[in-house]
Order: sequence, then structure tokens, then C-alpha cells
Amino acid sequence: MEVSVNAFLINTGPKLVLVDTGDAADMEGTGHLQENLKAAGYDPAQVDEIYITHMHGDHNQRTHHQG
Amino acid sequence: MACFSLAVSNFGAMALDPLGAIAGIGASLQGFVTTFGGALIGAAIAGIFNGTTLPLAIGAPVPASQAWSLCSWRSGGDSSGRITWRHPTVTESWQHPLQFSNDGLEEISNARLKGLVCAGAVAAIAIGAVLTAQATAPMVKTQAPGYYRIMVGDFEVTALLDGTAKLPFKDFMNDITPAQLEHALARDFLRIRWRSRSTPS
Repeated sequence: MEVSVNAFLINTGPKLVLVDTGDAADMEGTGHLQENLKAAGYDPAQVDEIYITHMHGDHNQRTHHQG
Repeated sequence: MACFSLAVSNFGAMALDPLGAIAGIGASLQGFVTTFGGALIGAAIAGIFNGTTLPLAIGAPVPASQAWSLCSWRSGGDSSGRITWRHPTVTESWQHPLQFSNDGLEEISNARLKGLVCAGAVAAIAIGAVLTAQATAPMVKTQAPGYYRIMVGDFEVTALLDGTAKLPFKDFMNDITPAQLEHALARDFLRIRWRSRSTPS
């Protein structure tokens, strides 16, 4: 069963907030968050705050890669 | 293609012209030669196929220019381009239905005109092939970026795709054995690669 792993980038105006940071890099089929963030017109370094919804591997595994 | 049809039918009629009594055999031989020869030329063009229509654009004028050369040779190298019809003995008694005078039949056709029709057909094919070739775009072969953007009040929200994770289906389903699940999925042409994962979300 394939399930989509998503994260949300919210631009409030003053701040750029990333909600969740994607799945572990070793999971087959995931780990494309950064390239899709760049494709969506933002740079990872522009992110001001990161919110983690819950401590599961597919939501926070890539946190240490963010700026 | 209209010019091509015009050239082919006219050349066919010209070739059968002196064969009145045995026109049936002539027509079948003509059909064999055009089909078999066309298959050979087509195979040669197919051999240099490279994913574009360029071989077709090259392949059309080359045999056509050879046909032009044959026309010129058949007309005896006469600079006027006129074909002189030599009726074989077998058709001596046959009267051409359009025959109104000997001179009119002897020099009925202008090879140069036929050549122009032929060249027009070739030019149409070549131009069409080149236009089609320009419309052929190479495949990108990479996945398109996955994101979706929507405004929520004053906030701009971008949903970003991290990818898709293959989770062990059987661990999420209750009251069904893995065999039953597999059977149910197979019925819809789906198959599972069983994988264990310690911490499902």
C-alpha cells in the first residue's frame, strides 16, 4: 500500500513556517521534500520555523537537514 | 498526397498504355513491382529510423530523384523530355481508345510535366515530414515536482510531497488473513510486496 507523505509550507507574510519535514531518507519512494520545496519557489534556508505535528518517523526524520 | 496519387495513377496508365491485349498481366506485374519494391525501399528507410521523422524526409526525395532519372533515361535523353511510345508487336492490332492521330499518340506525354508532378509530391511529403519532426519533443524522463498551493486567508499554504511510502497493508487490516487480502487485491490486478515496518504512522 502506497501512502503519500506530505509536509506543508506556510508563508504568513512575516514568517515562513514548515509543518513537518518528511520521511526518513532510507524509506523507498520518499525523501523528495527539499527538491519539491525548491520547485515550489522557496529555498530551505528561507524557512524561519519548523513545527512537528507528532513524533513519528515519517513526519520528522528530515528535520536535522533543514536550515 | 494528392499530387502523389496523380503521379502514381498517371504513370501506371502510361506503363499499361502499350499493353492493351495483356493489360491484366501488366497490371498484376505492376502491382507486384510497386508493392515489393516499396517494401524494399521502406525496409531501407526503416533501417535508418532514429526516433524522428527525418529518415522519411530523406527517404522520400532519394527514390524520387532515382525515378526522375529513370524517366529521363526512358525518354531517351531527349532534352525536350518527350516520351516516344514504341508499341510492341503483340498490341499492333489494338486501338487506343483516345487515339485520334498517329502523331498525337506517338508523342502523347511530356515526361518533364510528369516529373514536375512527381517532384511536387515529394516536396509535399518532405515538408510534411520535417514539420512533424519539429513537433516531436524529447521525453523528460524525470518525475514532475509535487506541490499544491492555496491561499488560506492571508496565509499562503504550499503542500509539499515528500514521496510515497510503501506500508505493509496486511498490518493495517483487521479480520482478514493475509491470504484473503492477497486474493482480494489480485482480483483487482493488484499485488503487494510484503514489507515489515516497525513504526507505522
